[in-house]
Amino acid sequence: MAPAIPRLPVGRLRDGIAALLRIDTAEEGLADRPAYVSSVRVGPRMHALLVIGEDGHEIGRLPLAGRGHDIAVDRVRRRVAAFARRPGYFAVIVDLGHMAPLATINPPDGHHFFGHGVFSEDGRLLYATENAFLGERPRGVVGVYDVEGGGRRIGEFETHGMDSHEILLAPGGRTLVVANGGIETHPEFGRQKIDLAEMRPSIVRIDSETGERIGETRLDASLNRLSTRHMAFDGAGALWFGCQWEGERTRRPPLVGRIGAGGEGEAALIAFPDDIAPFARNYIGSVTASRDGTAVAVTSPIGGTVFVFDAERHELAKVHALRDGCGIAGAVGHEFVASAGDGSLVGVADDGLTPITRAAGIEFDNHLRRVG
Amino acid sequence: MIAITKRLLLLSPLALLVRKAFAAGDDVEAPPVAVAPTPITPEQLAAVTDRAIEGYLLPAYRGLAEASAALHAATLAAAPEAPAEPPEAVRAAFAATVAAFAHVDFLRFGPMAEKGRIERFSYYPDRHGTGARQLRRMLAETDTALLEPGAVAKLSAAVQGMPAYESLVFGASRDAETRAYRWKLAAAIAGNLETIAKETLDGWTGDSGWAKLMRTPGGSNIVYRDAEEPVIEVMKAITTGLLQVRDQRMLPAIGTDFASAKPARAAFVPSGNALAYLAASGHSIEDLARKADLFQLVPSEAPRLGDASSKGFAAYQAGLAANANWQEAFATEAAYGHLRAAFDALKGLEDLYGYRFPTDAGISPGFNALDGD
Repeated sequence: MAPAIPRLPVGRLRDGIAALLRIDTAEEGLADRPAYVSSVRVGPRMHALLVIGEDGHEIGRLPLAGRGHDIAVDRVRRRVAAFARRPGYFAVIVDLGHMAPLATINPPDGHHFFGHGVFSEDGRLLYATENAFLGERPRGVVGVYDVEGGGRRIGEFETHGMDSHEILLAPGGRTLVVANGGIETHPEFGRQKIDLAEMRPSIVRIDSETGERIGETRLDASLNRLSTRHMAFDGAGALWFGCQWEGERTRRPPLVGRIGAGGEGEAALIAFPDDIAPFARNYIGSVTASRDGTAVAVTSPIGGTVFVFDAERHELAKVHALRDGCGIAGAVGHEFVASAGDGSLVGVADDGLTPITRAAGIEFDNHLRRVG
Repeated sequence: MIAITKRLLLLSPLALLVRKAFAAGDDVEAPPVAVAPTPITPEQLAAVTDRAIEGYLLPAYRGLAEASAALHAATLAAAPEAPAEPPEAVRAAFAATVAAFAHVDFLRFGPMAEKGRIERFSYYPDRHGTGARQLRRMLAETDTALLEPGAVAKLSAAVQGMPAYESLVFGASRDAETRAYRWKLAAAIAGNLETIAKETLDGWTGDSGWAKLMRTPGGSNIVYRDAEEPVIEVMKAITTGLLQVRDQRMLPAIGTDFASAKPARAAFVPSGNALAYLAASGHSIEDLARKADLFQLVPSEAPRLGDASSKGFAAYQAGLAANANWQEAFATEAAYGHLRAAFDALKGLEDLYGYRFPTDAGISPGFNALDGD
């Protein structure tokens, strides 16, 4: 039985939700069933948050005011926060147990979301990566939102970098880990990447109680164009990260790295074998660990490839072709479910991909998350 | 310093599995959909690629090489006089180079996308005024070593290309003292533009050129794995090109409304080429779509799609043409409204090329692959 859901004020709800196309009643809601959630495109300039059962059937959808990106999951209360993608100005908090939108949060003036966030372990706070863009140089910050208080913003932490993208809560529940992509952007120039030569990517660890930087990992200066963007913790507590290369297209730098338990210390980059590397197209779009923590999957939608690593041996184990595949989430044991831009949802197992569904009129966006 | 671990796996079996998977298409056989587009043959795809290369891509890069060579020549001719105002020959040559650059600025693949060539050719946006700051220093120092052949190519991208040239030549009248050096430096920059354009054209042609890469997908070709990928490259160029013009070329200047507009932020304002550049960008994207004849991949829908495309581009051009020059377009809210109409017309074209056509044709750059994060 899911815990009781406190109803939150719904101020500015319509900033994030265009309208409710379909809402299941409490009885028809998700309850305790496992499900997958993703932002999707459902038509030209039409976007939604989609909730799908393990068997691929649609449980519900919620129209969004703009293109979504990642979904933060509060596993205790079975709530999710769907973030608008960069430069994003809303995140919608949804109670999946009742398939009910609870609130929309917005960044303050002069900030936008980067498309990612994470709930605190108790679900009371939501941490969101933001671009504070009013100064001479934009700053990455973590906005702290009080979910119980209707999504009120109660503070911010410096990320000590630019282009702060995915944010995770490290095992233990206190340390935040932020991947600073290192690319300068400013909403007045749309999504344009400004001055790539000056890129400074990093992965920083922040004390969620004090906001203090307690650690930082930078790549070698020769890899300053390797944008660190997505991450996952494996079962042993090691941090895996995936990168996007902004340099010469004919170079094949390592795109996946691993930092020891707790995400502390130096990064060991794990290069793809030479004959595999071209399938990544120098671009990793999503990183996730299996539910048993023994495998880590990374995806390249540009290369149309899903790569599965043995998290214990730190080795590439399997490679699967999935055109425009990007969303990836844990399934059973060390297996995964992946989503693609053509509406496909597939199981990823040792012996290959198994179709689950192909949703008509749906294009899955970059990230897929499992609830339950 | 990081540790780089290169894992030597069971490479060959893994690679073979991957190749097999890609060769067979996908691991997953898609369930039938209600209306399946007619399958496109590899021959149809190759024909689109050929038409794009011969009809648009190679002519565009030849045009850039010719225009930048002419600009270099015109600048060398004007430099000894070091006039306060650029002579007509230089104005015309620069305008032609702007137009030629618009033909390729939206193409983010191929040799122009390597070795920082596109940024070196035109560093935009220069949000922090790096080019202006460095030019001020260079004009103060008047270092003749920078005028030597090849010297400009070693400088920051912000002072290697068109914005720096434009600032030197079209702002020359403000500074009589350094005028002679300005013109010499402008000639050196024009020479750099010519070199970049020639290197780019060379990179497209020949036995190992990019055109051949596009024409011979598969096998050992690591850029294009099958006949569909070069066509997808063209489709991406059109879709992202439309987005680039709207989001990165127009939006910084026109802002969200009349009150927030900042006209000086547009490209090529000092030389009076801002409107012409935007118009040429639209013509270029439309020309690529027409020359490649993309819509022939779905013949039954081609008339409808073609009509929608023509109307969309016409609306864009009408919005730009409604004002005589860039400054006038920001003089009143009504004049500004025409720019906003052009901006909105691009949205419709993005939907046409990024959603309707791929859906009809059953060939897509990929929702995630097209513009990820």
